[in-house]
Amino acid sequence: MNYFGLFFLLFISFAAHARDSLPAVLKRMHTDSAVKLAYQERKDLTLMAQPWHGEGFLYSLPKEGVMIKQQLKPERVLMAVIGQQLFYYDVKNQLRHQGLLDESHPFSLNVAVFKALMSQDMLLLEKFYQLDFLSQADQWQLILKDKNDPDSAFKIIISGPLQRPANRIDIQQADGDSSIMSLSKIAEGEKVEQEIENLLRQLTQSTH
Amino acid sequence: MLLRILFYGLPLLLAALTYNGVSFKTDLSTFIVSGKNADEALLAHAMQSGNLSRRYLIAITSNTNQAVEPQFIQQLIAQLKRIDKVTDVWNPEQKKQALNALQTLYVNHANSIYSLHPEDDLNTLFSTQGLHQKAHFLKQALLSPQASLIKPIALQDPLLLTLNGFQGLAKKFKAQPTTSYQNLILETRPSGMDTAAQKAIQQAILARFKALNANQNYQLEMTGVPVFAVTTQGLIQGDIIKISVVSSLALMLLFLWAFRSLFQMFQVFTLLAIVILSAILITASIFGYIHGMTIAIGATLVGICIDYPIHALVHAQQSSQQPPRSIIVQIWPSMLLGGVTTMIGYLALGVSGYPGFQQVAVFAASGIVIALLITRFMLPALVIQSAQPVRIVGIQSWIHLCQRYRKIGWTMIAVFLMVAIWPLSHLQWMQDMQQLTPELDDLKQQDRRIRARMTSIEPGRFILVSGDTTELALRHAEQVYKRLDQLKQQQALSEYFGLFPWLLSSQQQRLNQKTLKAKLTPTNIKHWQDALQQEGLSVTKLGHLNYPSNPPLTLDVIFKTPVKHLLDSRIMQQADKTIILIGLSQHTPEIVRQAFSDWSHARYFSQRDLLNAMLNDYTQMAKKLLLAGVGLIMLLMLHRYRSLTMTVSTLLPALLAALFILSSWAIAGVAISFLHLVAFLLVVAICVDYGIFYQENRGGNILVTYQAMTVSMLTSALAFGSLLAAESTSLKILAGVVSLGVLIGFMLCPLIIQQAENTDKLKN
Repeated sequence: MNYFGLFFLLFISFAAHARDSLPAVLKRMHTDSAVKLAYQERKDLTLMAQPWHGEGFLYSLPKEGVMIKQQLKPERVLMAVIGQQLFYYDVKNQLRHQGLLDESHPFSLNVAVFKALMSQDMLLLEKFYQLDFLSQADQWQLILKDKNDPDSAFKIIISGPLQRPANRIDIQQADGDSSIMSLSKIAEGEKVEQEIENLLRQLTQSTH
Repeated sequence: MLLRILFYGLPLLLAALTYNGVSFKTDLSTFIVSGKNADEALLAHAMQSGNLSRRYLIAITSNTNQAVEPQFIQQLIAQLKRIDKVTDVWNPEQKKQALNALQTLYVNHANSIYSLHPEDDLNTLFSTQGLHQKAHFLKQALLSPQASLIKPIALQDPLLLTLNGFQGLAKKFKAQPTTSYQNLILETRPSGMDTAAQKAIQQAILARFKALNANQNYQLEMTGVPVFAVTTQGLIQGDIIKISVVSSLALMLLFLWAFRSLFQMFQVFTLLAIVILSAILITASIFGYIHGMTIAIGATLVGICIDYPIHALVHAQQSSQQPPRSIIVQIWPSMLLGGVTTMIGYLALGVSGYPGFQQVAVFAASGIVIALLITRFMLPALVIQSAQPVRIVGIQSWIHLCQRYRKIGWTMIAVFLMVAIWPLSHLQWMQDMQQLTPELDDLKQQDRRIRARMTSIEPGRFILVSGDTTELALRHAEQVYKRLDQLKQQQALSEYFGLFPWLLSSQQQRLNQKTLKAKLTPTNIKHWQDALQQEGLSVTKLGHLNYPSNPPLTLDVIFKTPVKHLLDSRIMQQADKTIILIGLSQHTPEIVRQAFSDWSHARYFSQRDLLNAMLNDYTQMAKKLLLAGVGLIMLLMLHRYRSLTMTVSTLLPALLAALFILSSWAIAGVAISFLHLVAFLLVVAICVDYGIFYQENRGGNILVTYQAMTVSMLTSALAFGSLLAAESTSLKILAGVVSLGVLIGFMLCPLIIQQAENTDKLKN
């Protein structure tokens, strides 16, 4: 499973309490406003000799179905999901890609998960994943496993301090690849919406 | 008595035989281009019954600005697949299928399919800079959203040679700027020309779409050979019904008005029923079936065959002292000569080169022979003389007027000849065969609109590559790609779509393997490992370039995968020949044609140019036929009359009528096609009948003869005029030219032919 789709899960300013249950957390997830998060990412890929580090910002505008990843280091790369479309722009190499998120694309599942979370649709979420919600002494954890193969190594762990939004995502792929992303919300509201518009303009201006 | 039973019972017997034994077809296969050489014949066959003919291109467009929901498309595909006789439905977007094929099939042949120019490509790759660029690209790909695609490929093919050709391919296809539409391809089991099956499939497609599209968010359009076939068949069927109803009613009314006898009308229509049914049976027995278009055009035969009994009845009515048999025997030579000249006209249709007209020629010739034989040998025993002779007002006055002012009339004809010949130099010949079917214009536009969204390939224009085997055809195609690349550099061609990177010849694949193997030296491998290290990639996993020597990838293997859908309309295999079609984007036809003019296994092919060349061929043929037909009719008459003056005067009304129409078209700026010329030949053949009857006046009373000619002219004009009710432009052309021509030819007879002297000459 690709990590990018999991960004959807992050833009939800959900907080959990010690005695929270998953339905209660989901109920507080809903947000319509634009959100900006700073991220640091580490990838451990089997085909790479050493871990890869990246950082940048994540943007979300849930009401428009827009998600953007603005990677600033080590190289500038823009990625976005707008509705059912995926955009990719490698700024340094001026490479652009655009495609549809159809059923076979790994992102599609994540988009569906995002929608399920946004609409507080537990049934839909449970359709794709086996969900485990843990409330520990100092943090909460939401663990998602492949429903069809729960014993595989594939696992997504979303976690955060108690009564705080999610600040970390661990993804462990079945083939041994893994990634860890640390997050912190830095802005919300109209100003972020404007930034999103500017980024979208960069992404889409010459793909037509 | 026996004769009466036979006469009235025959239509029932023939109808039963027709109903049970005749196969009717309304598909257009017999009217479609058959191709002048083996390549075109194979192509035409593929278009009529191959994959090309069995596929629909379906476009789903959003009625709002919203994107087409992928879920809706998935549901629609599932629904469409359930339709009876539908073999498959898929999304034609090549990218997705290419990505799947890369992982499952092409990665195993990375070292054989990667290039058309292996030496050049590998020299670039194995340069120090090339290897570093490749390692960087690999890293970026592993960190991109496409990592899930790249990783399994990189494990087998670290140099990502699998992607080489496909990267070029991706650039050729238009980026889809919006998702407000989605195209699908639907393949059926029956041929596109099986209109009954295709009509049911089209109805099912629309019904299932309607059921899913309850909110009417989307609209569906479709195109493809089956859509054109069903629409055209609908037009033909509609035409046959309209023509049959209009011509039958018009002829009945005319007959009742002229003869005032229901019984005689019944007799004549019984004769016509025998003629038409026999013609259907004879045509079907020769060709194995009869086409709807043959019946539509053949229906005009009614207006000609009815002439013979009309002449017999009119003369019998007017000569109450003579028994019908002797009257019919008396006028028989004129009928026979008239019948033969008309047959010459129809037989000319058969050799005009237009495939469907062969049936029409057989249909008409057999009809005329049977009508003549029944009129001569059966009708005399059946005719009951009417007490009410036909009197058509104005006929006598017209004859007197012509006789009285003959010199003025001839002067007018001379002036007309001079005036009419001048515009002939401005005659416009039809250049584009598509002008013959303007009724399909909407469908053609829709077809262009839908196809334009898929790729930039110009429909109907491609390079046709052939070979005795698939391997040879592929080798020839690879030579063609190189020439096309040169044309791209010359800017005579913007893009082309061949079989690379989907398939290369085994020869090229072996060369690719050999070239790569030679490049995998310890030094080059060391450079690659350095490049990997520099990018932070795993040398252990990616540094050992082990490319196995797999057997070459073949078409048979590809056809067992979903990639088949992408290729099977571009390659056609037969036992002793394989044809490859290379699609072309925007190009300069003259330069591309010239570039392949001296190639033995490849040439530029334009479907539209082919059709237009055929139009030209048909027109040239029709011109020759017109001359040959008139020449043959003239020879027949010379043999009969032994007088050039009589022959010319008999023919002149017909020729003047044709000339008048031709000049009118020239002045009006109407583009003349071979159909116009064929219609002229028919005018000549029919009008010559009038000339013969008027010239010979076998009954001895010119007024009676002209009365009979009037009725037969009216029936011919009505029968052909009823074709005006048709939707088909081809039939309308026939209707306009022939109706007007026979009227003019008929009117000119008393003016041109000096009947009294000629009757004496004939009797002498």
